[in-house]
Amino acid sequence: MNRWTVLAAGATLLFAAPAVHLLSALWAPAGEHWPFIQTHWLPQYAFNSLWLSATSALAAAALGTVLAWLETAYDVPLRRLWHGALVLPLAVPPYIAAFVYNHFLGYTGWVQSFLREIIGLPPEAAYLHIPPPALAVFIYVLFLYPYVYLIVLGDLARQDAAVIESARLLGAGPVRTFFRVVVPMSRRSIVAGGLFVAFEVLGDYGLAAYFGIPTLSTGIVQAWFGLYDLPAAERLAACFLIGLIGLIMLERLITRRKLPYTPRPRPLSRQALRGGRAALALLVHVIPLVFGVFIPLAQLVAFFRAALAAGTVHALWTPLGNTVALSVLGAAGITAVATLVTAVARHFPTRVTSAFPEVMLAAYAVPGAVVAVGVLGLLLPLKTLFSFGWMVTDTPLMLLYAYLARYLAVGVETMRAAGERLGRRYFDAARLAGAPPWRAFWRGEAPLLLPAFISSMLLAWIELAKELPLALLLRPFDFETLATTAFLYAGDERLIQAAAPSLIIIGVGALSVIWMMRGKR
Amino acid sequence: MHRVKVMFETKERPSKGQPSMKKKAGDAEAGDGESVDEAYVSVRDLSFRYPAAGKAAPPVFDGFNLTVRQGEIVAVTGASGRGKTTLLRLIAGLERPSRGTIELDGVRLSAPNAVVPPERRGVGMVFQDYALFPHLTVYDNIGFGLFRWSKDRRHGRIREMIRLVRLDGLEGRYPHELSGGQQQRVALARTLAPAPKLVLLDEPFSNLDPDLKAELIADVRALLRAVQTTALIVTHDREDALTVADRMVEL
Repeated sequence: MNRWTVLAAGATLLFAAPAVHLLSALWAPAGEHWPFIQTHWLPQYAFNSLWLSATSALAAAALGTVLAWLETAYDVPLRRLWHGALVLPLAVPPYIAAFVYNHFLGYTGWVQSFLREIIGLPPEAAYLHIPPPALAVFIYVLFLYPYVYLIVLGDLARQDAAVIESARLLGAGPVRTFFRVVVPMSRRSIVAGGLFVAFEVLGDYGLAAYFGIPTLSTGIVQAWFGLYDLPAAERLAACFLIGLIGLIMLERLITRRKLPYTPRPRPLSRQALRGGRAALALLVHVIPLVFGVFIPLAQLVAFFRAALAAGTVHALWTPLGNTVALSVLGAAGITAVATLVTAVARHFPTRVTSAFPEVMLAAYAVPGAVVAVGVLGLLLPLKTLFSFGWMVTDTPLMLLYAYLARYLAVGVETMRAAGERLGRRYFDAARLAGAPPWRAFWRGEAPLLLPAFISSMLLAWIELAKELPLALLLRPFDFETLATTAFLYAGDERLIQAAAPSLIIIGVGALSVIWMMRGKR
Repeated sequence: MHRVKVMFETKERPSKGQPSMKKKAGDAEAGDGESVDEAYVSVRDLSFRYPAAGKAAPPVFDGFNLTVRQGEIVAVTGASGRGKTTLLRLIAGLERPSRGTIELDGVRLSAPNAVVPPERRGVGMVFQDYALFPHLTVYDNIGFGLFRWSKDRRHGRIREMIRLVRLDGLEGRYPHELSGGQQQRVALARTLAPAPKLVLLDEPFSNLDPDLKAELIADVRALLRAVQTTALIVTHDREDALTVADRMVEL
């Protein structure tokens, strides 16, 4: 074992420590509220989390798959425009969509005002009351389906078009072809996309908290902030974690086995659509965009103009500065650690070293609330044990550590993909020329990995800039980020003040969408 | 829709084990004394250019003509890039010609303003890489095109095709569990099962080792003869073309 391996092992341990701590909490004495939580919260909260994520995942899988297939097989009018636009709803975090829609459909919102004042319907608009869980599923589907869309689209592009053409030549019409050939052949990517959405929903804190839907994520926070019972919160988080580990293993099992390699994939030649079919396809494309992009943006811009008029925008500068500083530092840390572990796994491959990136990738599926409680449980004792403990627990350092623990996967994925394309040849050549590992990497590989460094930095920065649950739970006193500002204002129904930070977050999200789509077409 | 049904229903299917050599009943144009000029497949003035290639690129076809008689096996040869596969794709309806007409058995499949979609043409195609459905067994692959048939008839037909291509005992296998030659026979059986009016084969012998190839050429010819079908075979190898076909067309 060389020192690079030791360093990578140390980094992996350091950032896996919150999860390890949580699992060990299962054997520690439970908090005094645990029996209560176990009886009254756990079954109900777990049930809510499960059905919210299952329903959203199913609906998002259906919508994403249909859109991906339409994009692959048909010349939908304005196709080039849709390709990028369909991913845009990803730029809006569900917790922002939640308060936008709550207002939009509420008594003073545009819909009810329109019905009351223009159409002249009676004011007690109970007919427009959408139960919060239904609205939650609607928002999750609308703003998360692009994950399925992108994953299935990529899979369809790899499939042999001749197989689909065969189905048509054997008499199968478009509907039969879709259900009997396209869906079964893409089932793994559809399931993978659906699971991705399920993980996002399970991990969501902001939307569920805003709508007051008790889920495992909100329950963990409640146990800590409501009951002040950290051991009980840890226990709840550990139960959640165990369920998630099961789900992650299921996902690995499903996505690992790929269908046999198709020899020479050729893209399907797109069929032109005319008349009613073209109109229907257009409608299927327009609806997610209207609800997923235009309505939230229009509503937020209206709020923002009101904020400008009221002169409350200046309150934004401090949270903006905090967000930029923390997310840039976090992104740099993520890229550095990800580079270390992926390089060690590639150049000194053993079963152990190749497990390092895997551990970090799996951490991405762990909800922010779980990571936050793990970090709290792990680091809070520092304060009592050491005199300098406060330097960790009472400063943004704790939040930074949590950012890395949760989001290293973003960097690992980018750096690993780039490393695999690079192979080992440059490193090996440099070492044979007499360079030690560090120099071989720095001079031989790093220049070639530069685009990946930038990509990893940018992706991680975007994730951190909009991150909510970790910031909400771990930020020091009187320290706000854009996300916490937006969320707290929205929670106080001060939507006008929530608009500016929300718009910045959406702008950053749009940047990530553009970055993702770059070079795809 | 109605026409499609008639297509499938009136098309002769060989009875179990011993293919009928008679002309199909109900086909008014095909008398006993088939004339040499009678065009079963007729391609007239066909022009085509790949849309992605742009206007400046030379067209793949410009005023191309071809006629094939019923029951004839015609080989299409030519150097690569001459549009052999494209011709098959145009006849199958997978590409739209920019000009010209394609007719099959008196039915206009493709004209500038009217195009019959591939699933309603009654044209079968064996793709170069076979394009078997990876998620279906041999049995289900062969039965894929028979979804409008009754359960019993479908089962009987699948059994018949399995026997015809000598794949007995492999019904439950998936395509990736078969050898290249077996995969090709499944692809042939799948294409022939719904009794298409015209069978298109795209380079059916290109991916095979030489020993297997000779055997398969004989196989394919015998099979096409056995079901009395009209076929268009694309191959870059003139020798293969002469062995398998009645006639050769060079692009």
